[in-house]
Amino acid sequence: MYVGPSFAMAAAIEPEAAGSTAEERRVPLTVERLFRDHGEAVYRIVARLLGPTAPRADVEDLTQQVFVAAYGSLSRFRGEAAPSTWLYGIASRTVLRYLRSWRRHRRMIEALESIAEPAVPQPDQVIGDREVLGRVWSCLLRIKPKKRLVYLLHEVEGLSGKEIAAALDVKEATVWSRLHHARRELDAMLEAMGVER
Amino acid sequence: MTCPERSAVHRGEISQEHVAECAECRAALARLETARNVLQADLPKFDGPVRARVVRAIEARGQREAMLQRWLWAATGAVVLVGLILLWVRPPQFADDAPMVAQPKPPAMLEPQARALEAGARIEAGRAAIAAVNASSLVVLSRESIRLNAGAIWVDVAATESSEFRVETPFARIELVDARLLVEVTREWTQVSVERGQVRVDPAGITLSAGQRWSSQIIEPIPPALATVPKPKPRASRVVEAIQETPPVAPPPAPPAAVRWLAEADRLRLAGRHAEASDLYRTIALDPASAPYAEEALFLRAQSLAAMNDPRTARSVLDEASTRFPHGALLPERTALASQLALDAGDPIRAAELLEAVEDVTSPVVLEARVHAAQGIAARDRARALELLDARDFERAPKALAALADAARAEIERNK
Repeated sequence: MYVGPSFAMAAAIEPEAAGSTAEERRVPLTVERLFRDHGEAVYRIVARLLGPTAPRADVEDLTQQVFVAAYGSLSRFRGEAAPSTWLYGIASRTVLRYLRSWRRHRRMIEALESIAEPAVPQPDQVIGDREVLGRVWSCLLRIKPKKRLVYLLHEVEGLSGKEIAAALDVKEATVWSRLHHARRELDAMLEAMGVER
Repeated sequence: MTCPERSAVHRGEISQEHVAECAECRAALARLETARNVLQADLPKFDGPVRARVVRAIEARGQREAMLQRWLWAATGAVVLVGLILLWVRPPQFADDAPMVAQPKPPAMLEPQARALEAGARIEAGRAAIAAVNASSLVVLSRESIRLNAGAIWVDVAATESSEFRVETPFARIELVDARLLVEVTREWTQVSVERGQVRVDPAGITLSAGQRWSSQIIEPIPPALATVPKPKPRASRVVEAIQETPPVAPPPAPPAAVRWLAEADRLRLAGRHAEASDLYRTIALDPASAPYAEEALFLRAQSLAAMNDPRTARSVLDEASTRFPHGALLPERTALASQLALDAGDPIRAAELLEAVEDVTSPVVLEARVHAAQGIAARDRARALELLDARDFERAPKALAALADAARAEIERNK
């Protein structure tokens, strides 16, 4: 008898906020459903939090860690937040734990530097989108992970301050403060790198 | 020239009218929009093969856990079955002529308890209060003794009883009655610094008073086979046997010059003779043979200079320490001192920046400095002050420090 997080297995949980429609709310919340509905979003946020130089195997490994962790705590999920918010919280903690190794973080920055080579362009030089992206990442990876996380969740994933606060289990004021600092640092670094458009 | 409204761009509260007039804010807004647009356009690919790999990996991990669970059930069942069989085949045996009296229980034997402490952790070990300065490994041998194998701990023993408390390390045995001391142990040496009371250090055979420090300074650990000191006589207690397992040590050689200089500089500093102490610390920091002590000497010199009201030189000494030891063991202490100097100079923003750059937020000195910096910056940037006082960072802090942070947080909230 297989009792792990199978994609055929349904945990008998029906949190009120698990789905947005009445039909969805009647469907039991399972790892299969979570993965089907939010697998791509979780993979994307993990990949974005790690940056473009992270090995793809690490992104996949962390994504599966998120869903295995979700399976482990599915019974404790009360449905007070949307499943996506809950998964974002698990993903954020998983990635922050991974990034806590200073050496690992440093390696990622160095890998990016070797790709991006962010030299200040000549005034008449027009830089392409790929190069701009490289420079943006080069700056983002220099911002502390907690601030970077809030920046990406808000600016790129489009989560509200309230949703981020719920996912990260912090006050909303903390979210806005981190976002403010992240934008300020990013702006200063982009300006120094000559990204003007 | 920097526009004062640029901060509003970062807060997302800039007015369209101002953007239309101010080129600097317009450029800042454009930069941030460009960053957002290129990041949004760059979608990490989650195609079929990736999805399939992740699904397979989740299922494989789940199967491993399920298999482990099944094995655990099977093993538990087997143990229960074996127990029942043993009970069934061995009927209770009573000697016919033996009186039915309860046998006295053997005295309870204390098992040595190994403890791995994280930095900042506090425990009660028998009569002693222990606070780990950094990650430490110790064994609580009895109510009267512990053995520190690695790390640095504060030991505080109050004089509630007349018997001695003992701290064993690979290179020393320290006995104390009513004292507070810092014990640091590495693979090469043991160092004892006494803050209160008196302690006896063996086999050096010396007594240290408050403000004194002793270091074994054995550069190479002595292999047990070469040790000449005979083993102590065996005793019945398993506790004592556990102590005897530590390799016997030879008397430590005389400490190197740097240790003597540090002790002398510490004595001068504690006596308030900061100028002389500062010169001696500088000598140690510049001496190539004293390189292992250079970071400590630089930090203590900065402390002496701060006490001499020379913050400028103190800052330059801390900068030198940061350049030479960017990830040194005293990084939290150095950052806290630099932040205090910035606060004293009326620059709470700099103090906050220094503390925000510290990745390890478990150090009590850093947390305490964050409270002071938050109080300093609250009037200018309330959100930043509250972030410095983030309750989750103080969860594992000493109670007094957590209470200090709570009070500061409440004060800032009140003055909203």
